[in-house]
Amino acid sequence: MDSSALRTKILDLAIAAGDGSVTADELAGANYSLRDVGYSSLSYMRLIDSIENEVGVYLDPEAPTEHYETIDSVTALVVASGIGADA
Amino acid sequence: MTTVEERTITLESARAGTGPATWGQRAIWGVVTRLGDDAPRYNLRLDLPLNPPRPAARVLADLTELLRMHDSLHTRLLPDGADGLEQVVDGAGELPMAVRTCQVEQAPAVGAALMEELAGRSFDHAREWPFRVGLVECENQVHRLVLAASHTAMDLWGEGRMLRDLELISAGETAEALLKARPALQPLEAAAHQTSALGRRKDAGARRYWCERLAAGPRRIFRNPAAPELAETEPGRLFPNALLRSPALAVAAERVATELGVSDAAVLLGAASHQLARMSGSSDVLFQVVVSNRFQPAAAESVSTMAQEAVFLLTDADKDFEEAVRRTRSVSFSAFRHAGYDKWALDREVARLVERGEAADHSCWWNDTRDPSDGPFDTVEHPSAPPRELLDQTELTWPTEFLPRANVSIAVDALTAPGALELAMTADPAVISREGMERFLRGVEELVVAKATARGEG
Repeated sequence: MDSSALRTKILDLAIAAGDGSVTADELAGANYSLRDVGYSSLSYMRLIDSIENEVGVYLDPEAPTEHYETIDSVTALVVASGIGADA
Repeated sequence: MTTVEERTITLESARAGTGPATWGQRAIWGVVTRLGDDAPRYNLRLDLPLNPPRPAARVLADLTELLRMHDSLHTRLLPDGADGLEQVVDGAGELPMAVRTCQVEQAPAVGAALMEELAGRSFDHAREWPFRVGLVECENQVHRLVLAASHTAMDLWGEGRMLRDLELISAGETAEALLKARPALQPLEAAAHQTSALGRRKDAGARRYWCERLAAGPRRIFRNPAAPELAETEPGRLFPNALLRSPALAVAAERVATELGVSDAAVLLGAASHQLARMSGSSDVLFQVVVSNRFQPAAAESVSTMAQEAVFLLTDADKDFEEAVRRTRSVSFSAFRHAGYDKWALDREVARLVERGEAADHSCWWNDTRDPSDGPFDTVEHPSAPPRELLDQTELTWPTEFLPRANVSIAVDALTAPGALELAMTADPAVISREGMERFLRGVEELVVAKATARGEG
């Protein structure tokens, strides 16, 4: 999976984990900031769970909060936590 | 005069299958089996007035549809060797239905007695479905529906989902349509995931996390217990139960949550941790936190018992309240991620740690029972007054006392009430006095109100 495909995957998972609370347009309008669209704790839990189930990477929930602020920072955390951009 | 009759609900062509029990089923089955005659206290009870009353045939049809929707209601559990437990989902069978006929004015009392009759005895999980049904009929209409369930069939979250689905079915929905719109994870599906390679890895990871935290946590939380001699001299001592009902806390918790960018659940657990650390003499605190384990949408729709305990260790919890709340958020994430595991295997590992004197005190419990979709101000007007001015509406009562509970120093539940937030606390009098319990509850309230006031100028 290249970095662009990985980012798209993370974006899809983030929207699904929002369970209807956030749309692709809203995220794009917020410059893909999860914090700015009011992403809930429950959504974060779902996202971390989904990433482990579907990407196979375990993210540390206690990682500094800035890693969880945007789609790009989450994608970077996934790469740093075990999946290479070309994996 | 009350007449007694028995009818049956017949289930045909429902989903069926056999597989290993889920982690949740194993955990609860282990507990209720050990309890023996005391097991009925774990049964869930619902005595529902029907307004308007309904014909028995309609109620029976609705319940049949409910059984078709949720496999856990027609599942038996059978021991399989020393460490195994098998779930058998029956695709067909009959569920006895106790019917009492009486005058309308007698219906509440007859319903209460029927509730006791159905829920007051243990379930034979190997031979019967974990669900009992009773009807109170008056003038050929059902006035009360009485349901008793084994905790192996559902937890409190699941009970809420079952009630919602029963209401939808009563309004004309079908199990098929409801499941198509909102798929619900069934216990056999959950067990398949848990026994997959990924599930086994999660189980091992969760148990490792538990043991690491237990090894790192404080060996003793209450450094100066209130009356330690009671542990020896009064093994049958009753545990007081206090209930703090606070509109101020409901308003303040949501305000602090917004200001700090965390959930109000983190605010409450952070406040409880900070207060416990300040009162107990242990800077590090550890709670066993009950987790619903329903993070994924299909799990959130499940009735089956899935809740398990997470281990929550907050270091330096007494230092700064705001910092404690912020760290509670991230530590909770980790703890909640590790709340799904094989309880029997974990119990063995914890017992070894305890035996070696390497386990932290894990006798403090936290259970935030609130449903995020059910807020305190959904049905009553949100107060316009700032939290500080609502403090005089706080009520502290002592509703009951409980029989001694093993490995419990304090157990605190957070509950939603109309216009208020409630904290219910049960505690061992050998560890903390009634005065100490009140100081704890009012201390949690004051911490959150003070923070909301400081930030909101209110």
